[in-house]
Amino acid sequence: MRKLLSGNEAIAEGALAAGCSFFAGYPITPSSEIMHYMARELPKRGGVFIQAEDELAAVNIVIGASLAGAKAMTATSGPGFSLMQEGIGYAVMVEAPIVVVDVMRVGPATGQATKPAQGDIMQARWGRHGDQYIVSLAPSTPQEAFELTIEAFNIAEELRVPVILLIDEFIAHGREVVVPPKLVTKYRRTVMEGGEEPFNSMNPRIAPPLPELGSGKYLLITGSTHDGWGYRDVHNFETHFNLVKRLRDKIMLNLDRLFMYEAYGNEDPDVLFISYGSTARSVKEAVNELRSRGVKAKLIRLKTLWPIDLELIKRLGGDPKVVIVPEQNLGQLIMDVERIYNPFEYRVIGCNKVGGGIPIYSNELVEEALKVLGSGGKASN
Amino acid sequence: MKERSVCLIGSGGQGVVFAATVLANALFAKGLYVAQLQNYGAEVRGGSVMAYVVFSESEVVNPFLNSFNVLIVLHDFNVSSWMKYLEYSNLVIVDDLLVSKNFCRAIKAPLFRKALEIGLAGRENVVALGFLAGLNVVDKDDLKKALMNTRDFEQNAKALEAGYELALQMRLKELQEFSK
Repeated sequence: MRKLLSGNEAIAEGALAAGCSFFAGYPITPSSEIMHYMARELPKRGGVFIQAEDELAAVNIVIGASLAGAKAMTATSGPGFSLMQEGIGYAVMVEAPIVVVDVMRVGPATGQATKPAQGDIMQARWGRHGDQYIVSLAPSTPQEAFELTIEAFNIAEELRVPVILLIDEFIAHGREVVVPPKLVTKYRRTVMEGGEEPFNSMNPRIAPPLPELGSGKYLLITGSTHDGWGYRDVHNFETHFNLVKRLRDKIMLNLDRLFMYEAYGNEDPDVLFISYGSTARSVKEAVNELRSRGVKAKLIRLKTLWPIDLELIKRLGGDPKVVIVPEQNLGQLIMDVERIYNPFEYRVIGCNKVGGGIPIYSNELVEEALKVLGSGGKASN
Repeated sequence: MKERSVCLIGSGGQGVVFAATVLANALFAKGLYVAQLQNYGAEVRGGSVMAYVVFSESEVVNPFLNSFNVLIVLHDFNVSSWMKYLEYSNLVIVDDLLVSKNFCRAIKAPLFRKALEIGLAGRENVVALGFLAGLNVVDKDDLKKALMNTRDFEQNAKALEAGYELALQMRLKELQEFSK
């Protein structure tokens, strides 16, 4: 049945469809509607909703619920997301599957609370201290917000890792038609029967199963370096190195499954756009417009913002005359793109606009592309 | 049907986002693809508010527009930030009392005065919805249905009717264009 939902509502519905039974959060514009929805719906379904005293508490409550066996999530925006970083780092270390929604607003600091931005993509990736790998996803329509929320829970549960859903205010508050899929694949985490190491795995692609906290099984949990059984070891090189390597490998060795994208347009483009989230909507129209004017154009839209499959993007992107990376920030994803398309060989340009709730319009992208093509394309510096 | 769009600009508290929500619901109920977006500040009242609805029989590829088929300006608070929209939109309707600035091409309509006249000052947003129905942008009955579950339905229905009548009285030649 089709519904008219905002991105925030779609995330909440997606979470419920994925089997989320626990939500803790602290209200903040523009993410509050997710919390409102969960506060209303979870108790009806036997779930638990807690309004925490702040974001620090919210994320830690969610980690506790997750370790006790619940599919748990929280939602926040920029300032709250900054507060949650410590907790997310802890979740990485103790391998607690949680889903954190960050509805991106204009920052830094309080910024413009009601206006959209895409400035948190590097924070989502690297916001914590130490070597840590997470997964972050970026939907570009409410429909996709629904689908990727389910995906976020599945990835979190399967790999025992925090998954961060990055959505911008345009999509979060914009209402569009959503058709929830009839069939939803839900991953159930393997519960350990006992006897195996809960923090070690023979296959580096697979996360070890976890006993539920409070089920009577033996479980030690610590944010300090620990061995396979959870015993603290804050001296030994091997213990630490093997641990962080495994935490990285379980993400990076699953790159083929985690990296989701959409490729749209000509096979071998002259103008290549790489974009994500709401911005990619304008880009899609710009690609249509350029193609109607006889310019070979392509969009690679990233649904997964981390980890990124650089080789695959290069294979899809081919050998363009110009690479344009439109973003609602001052240039973040472009740093990855420049690892694929060396800026000394290729013309790589950002198209950046943020603040005031003014989107990047498709005609601006078309003009930019035509201007650069007219000036010869490939860099000669 | 080609993709169409309607934008409302006003001041916080006038119900601009509410009107866009009702409009989106009405068009959605008709089976159309709808995208509703809005831009507002942190204020409860005052501040610049803009909301728009894009609708089509096929999926809305890109909801980020800088020109609209119809643009209604209910208040000129900070309207200068939306000058591009006023410049590029096809049909621009401005309230003749609350918008004191003069814009070329804009058609003045007594939306707020109409609301005052029927004793419903503050419901100029719903009057504007009725006006849109009068322009054949959206079906009046669909709007009425969408308003059914709102508070003060009776008053909203009255305001809707008043706006509809107003549009018919004004006999805009643009009316013909939209009925195509």
